[in-house]
Amino acid sequence: MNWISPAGEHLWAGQWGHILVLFSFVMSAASALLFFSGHTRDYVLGKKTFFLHFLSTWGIALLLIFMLFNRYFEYQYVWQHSNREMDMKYVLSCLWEGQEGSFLLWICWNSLLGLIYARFSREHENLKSYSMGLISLIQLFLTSMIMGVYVGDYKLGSSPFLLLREHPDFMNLPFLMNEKYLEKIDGRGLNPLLMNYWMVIHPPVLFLGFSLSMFPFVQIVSRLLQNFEQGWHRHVLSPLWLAVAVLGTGILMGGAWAYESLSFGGFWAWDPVENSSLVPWMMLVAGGHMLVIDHRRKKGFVAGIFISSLAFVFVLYSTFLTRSGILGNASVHSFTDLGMQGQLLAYLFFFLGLLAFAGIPREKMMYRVLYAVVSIMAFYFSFLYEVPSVGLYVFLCLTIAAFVLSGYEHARKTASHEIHSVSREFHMYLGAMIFFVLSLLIIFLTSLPVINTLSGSSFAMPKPIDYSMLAIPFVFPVLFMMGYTQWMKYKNDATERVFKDLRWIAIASILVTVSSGIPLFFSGNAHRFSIQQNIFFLVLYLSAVFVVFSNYLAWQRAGILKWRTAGTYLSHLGFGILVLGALISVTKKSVLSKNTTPTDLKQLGKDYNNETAALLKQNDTVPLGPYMAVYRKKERKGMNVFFYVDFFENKENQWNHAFTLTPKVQDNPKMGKASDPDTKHYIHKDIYTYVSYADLSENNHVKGGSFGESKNYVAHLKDTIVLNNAILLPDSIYYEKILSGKDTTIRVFIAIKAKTEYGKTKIISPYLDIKNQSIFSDFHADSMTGIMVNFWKINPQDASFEFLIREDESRKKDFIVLEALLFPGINILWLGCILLILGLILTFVSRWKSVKE
Amino acid sequence: MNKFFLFAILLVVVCVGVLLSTLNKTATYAHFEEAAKHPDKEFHVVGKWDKTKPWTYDPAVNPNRMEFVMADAAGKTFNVVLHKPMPPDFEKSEQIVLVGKVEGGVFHANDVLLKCPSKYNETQNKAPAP
Repeated sequence: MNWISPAGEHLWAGQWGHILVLFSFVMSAASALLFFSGHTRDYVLGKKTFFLHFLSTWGIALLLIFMLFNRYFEYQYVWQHSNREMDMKYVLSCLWEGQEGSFLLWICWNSLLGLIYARFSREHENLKSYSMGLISLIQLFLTSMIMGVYVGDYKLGSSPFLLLREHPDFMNLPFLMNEKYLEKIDGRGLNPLLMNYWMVIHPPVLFLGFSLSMFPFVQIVSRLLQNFEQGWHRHVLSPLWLAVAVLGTGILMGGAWAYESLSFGGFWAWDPVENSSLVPWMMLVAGGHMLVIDHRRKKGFVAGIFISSLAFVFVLYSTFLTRSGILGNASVHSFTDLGMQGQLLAYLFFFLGLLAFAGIPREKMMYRVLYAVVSIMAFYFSFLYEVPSVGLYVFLCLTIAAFVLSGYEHARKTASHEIHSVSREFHMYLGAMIFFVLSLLIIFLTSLPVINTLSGSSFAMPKPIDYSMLAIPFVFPVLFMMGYTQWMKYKNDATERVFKDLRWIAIASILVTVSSGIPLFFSGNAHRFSIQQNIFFLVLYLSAVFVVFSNYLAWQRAGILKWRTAGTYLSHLGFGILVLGALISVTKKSVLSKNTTPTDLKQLGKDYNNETAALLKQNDTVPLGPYMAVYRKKERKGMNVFFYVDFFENKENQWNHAFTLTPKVQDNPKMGKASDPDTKHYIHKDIYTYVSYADLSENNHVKGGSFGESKNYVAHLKDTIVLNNAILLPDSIYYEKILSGKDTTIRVFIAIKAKTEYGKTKIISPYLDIKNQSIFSDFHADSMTGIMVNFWKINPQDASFEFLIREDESRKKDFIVLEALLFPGINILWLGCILLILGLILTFVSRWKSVKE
Repeated sequence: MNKFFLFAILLVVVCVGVLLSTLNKTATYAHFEEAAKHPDKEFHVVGKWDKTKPWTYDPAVNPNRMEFVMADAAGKTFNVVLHKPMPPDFEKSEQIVLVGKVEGGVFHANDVLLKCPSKYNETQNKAPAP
């Protein structure tokens, strides 16, 4: 074995990498077998093999980090995701920028959490053994994604340890044949959009959330395969709330990232990538509430177990959506297709099938066998006869049938007792169910590209506003329920007492809504939305205000400092504030950067006055909403070009400097340009700016007096000619006869009103001479405007005139096209996020303590 | 059970209504030919920028207007007015998706999505097929 090739390639790294991946794969398979055998001796051994699996997965990650750190560009993954000039603090971002690396991140978290679970869970050993077996199976599928081995003709997974010259895209490239190519080679580098601290912290948190969401699934499926012991809810609920907290943090960090450093113009764009991580979170929340009801009142068992475990299946579905390339045109930031569609689908269908299989009650063993056999045969024959979609449809129908059957059977078995209309469990159940249904609707719309592929339809993705309007009718009843259930008791409750407690809260919420909500949604820029939309916003506002009041008062009644119960109130309060902040900042977002240069406006079509950008010439003062803005200068630092824009505010009739923003454009020669916003944060509003168009060249100031190329302009009288230095308005035409000898020259003047951008006006009168039916003309320079005009042609047929114009380049100023948005109340949103997450963490801690007791 | 049943029916009815109204509002992918037939409806058109035809973007005149010619997937070219600033890396884009309507024989786009080869995978370094 060669450690280093003649060309200086570090072959040892790739060899070790391949060995570690293979070893980790084999260890997960061995663990799965040992854990499912059911013997105590095998369980103990299984824990050891799982530990080896854990060591090898973290070994893979460390090896890859080492390779990135030492710039082993002979490896395709290192070459693609890093380069020499990159700051080494982004080495972790490089690790998880690609598909393989992000799978690796997921694998590492799973193996770590598996170890923690095996060590700390207080469940019965038989259950733990099954759960660990399921985790090992998950790991088996995940490690196969980074294997990159061929099974027959089928490539299983994509390895991050492939040499550049082994990669199909680079094979046989002449430069790789050079003995000394390593000395010249430089990596392609990290996508400039991803070179910021968010990329360092957001993926690990999000993937930790995905990893945690497997626990409800494995714990419930292992119980379905064995049995539900007394008090099982405690064991499931504590990791579930942790998953809700961490996944929620990951999603909100994604929103904060989009807002802070991507020029999406907001924190939530209803992009497929965002939706597909939101949906499992919503399912965990809905399922968690159902399980709480079942824990307290033996109701909602079926919905609870299936919805909480479906969350994991939808994590797998979201993996399929974002990584299979099926989203195609629908999303700008999904991963590239690595040709792993089949493998990703197998991963998804295996665990969906497993849930349906385990869900069928054990007494109906025949149905379980039937389900498994028919599903496998459906796939087998549909592949044999090359009609894979038939197999898919058969499998999906069978799975739905299995869920219906098992739901019915489980519901029949559990004790049925009447549920009171005014009881906490009834309304919690309704709220959770509505939330779950909303998550299904969102994932249905997000799946439109998949539906297009299957059925040949051609739906585009709905617009963000359509998603929001779809969500509102579901969210506001849920919010009301979140408010009033805090004042209800389990079992049944005295209707009058509930009304009495809630009366003042309801009146206060209505008063606040009437006094602040109506002016908010029915004045100002309210015309941007329809009446119906504004009414929806108002109702949502009312329900969010109600949640905030109701939860705060209920919390106060229960005792603010009693941290055991505080989690519930705090998280619901936070959610209400989050909705309130989102509502205000989305509906009241306003564009400051209306184009104010006096040039066009009339060209715009009636529907298309979506003026979002303004032109800022260097050192010119331009009004941006209530501010005056001046673009001062640009400065290049490495790959970034910073644009300094001063903002002035009117105070007591004086314009004072308020702040300076420096939005930047990253100019990466290999990746292209990317605009990075800059935001001024106030307590009650944010001013958010980014440069959408600019000249990035170092110096575009030409020496004075140098006139540029001449350009031809055609105009009628009263038309407008827009130049860089001035605006010309041909006003009138007159002539004079000049007699010299026997020749008569007719000199035609055209009087042109010239306006400079400073508002100065001047009449310039270029002329042409007509002599012997020939036209003679020349350039006439004007110093005020800095232009030279040659009036050279008259077109009698349509009464138009033609001019050749040259402009003084030194007057041509540098400019930027800037978009500036005002987000009011965005801090309300962030406050809500923080309270929600704090509440969820408190809930987890108190659940965890209750397990320990 | 009765209560839950009523609630479930209500929920399903609301879902179907909301879903249908959303799908109704949702634009569809189409070629220019179909978009020209329905001038009142919004479409997504996938295609390529035809660089051989003249194009203009002059922020000094209007930073929110760009005019160019795009060829859709069927190869039909159409004049396009984009009512937005010219996106960075427009020149490098391999594929564009326009969102808008046809009006007066011109496709008016109020949004544009770009797929740039350089950001997602490498084509310029790809070896020519043997």
